[in-house]
Amino acid sequence: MVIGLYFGLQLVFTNPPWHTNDEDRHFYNAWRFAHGQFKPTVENKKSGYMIPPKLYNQARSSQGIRFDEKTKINKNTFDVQKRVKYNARDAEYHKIPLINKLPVGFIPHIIGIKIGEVFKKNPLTVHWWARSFGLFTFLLIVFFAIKTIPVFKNVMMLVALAPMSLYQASSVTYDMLCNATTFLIIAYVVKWIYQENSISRKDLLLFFGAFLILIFSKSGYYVVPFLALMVPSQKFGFSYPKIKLILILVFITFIPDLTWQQYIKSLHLPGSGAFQNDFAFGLKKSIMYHLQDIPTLISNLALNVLSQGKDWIIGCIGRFGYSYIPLPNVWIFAYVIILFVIAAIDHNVDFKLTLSQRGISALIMLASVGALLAAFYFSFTPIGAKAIFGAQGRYFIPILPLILLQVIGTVSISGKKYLSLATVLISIVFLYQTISFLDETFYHAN
Amino acid sequence: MSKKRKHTNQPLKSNGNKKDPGRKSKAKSSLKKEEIWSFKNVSFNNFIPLLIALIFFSILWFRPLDIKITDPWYEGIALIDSANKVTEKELKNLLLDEAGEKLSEQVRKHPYHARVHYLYGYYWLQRQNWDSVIYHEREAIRIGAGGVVEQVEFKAQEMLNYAIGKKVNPLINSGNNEEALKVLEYATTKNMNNPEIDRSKGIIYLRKGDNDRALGCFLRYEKSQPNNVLNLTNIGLSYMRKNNLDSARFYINRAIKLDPNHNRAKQLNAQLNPQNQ
Repeated sequence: MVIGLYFGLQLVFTNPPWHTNDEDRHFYNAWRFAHGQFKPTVENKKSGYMIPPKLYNQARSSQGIRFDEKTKINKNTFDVQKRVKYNARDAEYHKIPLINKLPVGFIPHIIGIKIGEVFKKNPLTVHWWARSFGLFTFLLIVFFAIKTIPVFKNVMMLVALAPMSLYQASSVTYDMLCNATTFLIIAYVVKWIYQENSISRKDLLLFFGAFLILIFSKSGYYVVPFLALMVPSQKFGFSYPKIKLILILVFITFIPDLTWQQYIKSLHLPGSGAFQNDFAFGLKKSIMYHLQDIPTLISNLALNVLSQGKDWIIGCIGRFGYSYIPLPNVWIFAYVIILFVIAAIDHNVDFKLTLSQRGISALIMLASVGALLAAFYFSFTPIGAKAIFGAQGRYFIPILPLILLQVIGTVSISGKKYLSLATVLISIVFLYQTISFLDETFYHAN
Repeated sequence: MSKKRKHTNQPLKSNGNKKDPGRKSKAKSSLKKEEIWSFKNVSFNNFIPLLIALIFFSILWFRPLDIKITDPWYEGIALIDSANKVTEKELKNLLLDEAGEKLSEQVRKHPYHARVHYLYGYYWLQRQNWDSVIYHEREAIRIGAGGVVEQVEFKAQEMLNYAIGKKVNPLINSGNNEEALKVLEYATTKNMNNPEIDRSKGIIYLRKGDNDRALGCFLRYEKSQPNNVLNLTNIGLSYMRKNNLDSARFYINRAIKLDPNHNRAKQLNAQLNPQNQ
């Protein structure tokens, strides 16, 4: 918690404003929710929102910086930017994508914005407030997840405090809530496997609550909670637990479609215009196209993993913002090795997974990864393309504990009493290096 | 009433398997080296997932297979690029033929992709088949205009403008006005910028004696090319034919100011102002 707070806050202020992927759009969405704009404004047959021009312009002015030697940021510019004040009522229409996004993923940022505006309606400082509240929420949920999980605590900490994970947590994005709740869901499952007692009603409600928040924040990780199928049936304390569990999870998966999306559809909005129009995209069309040649589909997916896998690993551990600047490869390589090693040794000798449990966890892991890749291949990749488009490493962060769970209990060593200390030191070293790296990369030396 | 179990380090009966730690170390020390590495050994079996994970990670990281994935339409473009680097005509044609086959297949399979039309138009540009360039770039603009990122319409319009010039100028110069006009009408793209279409159309209408339409085209062209002397002269001529001599003088004077030695402008000026001769 302390490490996360210290380095997380450093990331809040070191990460250039609105630099995280899609952060400008997420910030506009959080801002308009904070000001009660749940229904888009339609102008010129396009949907958008009313945003104060000073706020919009300051966010926009931060885009497109290449961060080479000539185009770094001078920290003095923040002093100038902090003098700008906007009037929330002095708003003008802006066409903004992501009109159908739910507000749940932005709740912590909305709170941050509201509090920030009490002090000063300056885009930059309000933005920092929003980031900070996102960070606090992430750390709270992760703290609870680490407290809950009986084994694998060190791994959970390393995943949550991985450079990219903390970077996302300290940005205005619904990825923060998505990542944190997924960690919590996995923590509950491990706890239920470990414990001897029946699962309490409180635990079940919190588990389903976490899934609800996850599904309302970001779609795509519906498979993860099915990890609960690893838990022996007798621990649930009611009849036909697995069937009931599946039904409840499937029902929860559809709640956003049955509620918020229906509300958006009822508005008959014209849409904010095509974001990318040089290629045709479409889930149904793409699936129909690829079903004509399933072996090629499978081989394409496999080839994509082999050709883009390294980029995804880099993106999962440390590739920052719109500029896609990665941490040095050696750091990322080292972090991944550390994760695997600690995942292998971070267990109690009495925590054993049966073959069927390992099988279920492997299946859920593969299904999660497969679902993610399939979603990008069918929805975000041009129909008929071979290369998966749009899949970034940061999308694997929620599934990372699940991947590492595959090696839990594989190495038994003694002398693990220093493991927690080693984990803390590793986190500190990597995060310190990350902050230094970002500071050097994005800013002119004073 | 269920007890809440504290998470301690005391061994629990997880999954019904009790473990005696002492028994385990005695068992391990009595194993021979080959037994440790055999599949019958429990510890080695446990290590397999980690081994698989590390091997898989290494394959992804070090990329020993060096796999590159190219979308099928970009494979066609790669062949065109290769053809452009080659000087030998036969090889160049072979590469272009292959590129053409690939791209035409992609256009057949994916007629909804604006960029595929754009790339296929680029292929026809290499072949100097201006009708095909015009058709495919027009399709690219029709299907693909309006996106926020990866915009295809502007590059497609540049190629379209180029192809129109290449197609239409010879037709106009050879007096084939009707066909030139058909091409121009067909190639006009809504909301896109091609002032040359107006210029060419203006010339055709002027030759046909349709002064009103010619004037309309020249005046639109003048907005994007205000200092084009020939166009100013054409505007002047159109006004002259409509007997609007004041407007004609205005534009001819502008043309002469910009280029006092422009023959056409001087001729028209002489006609407008015979007293100055």
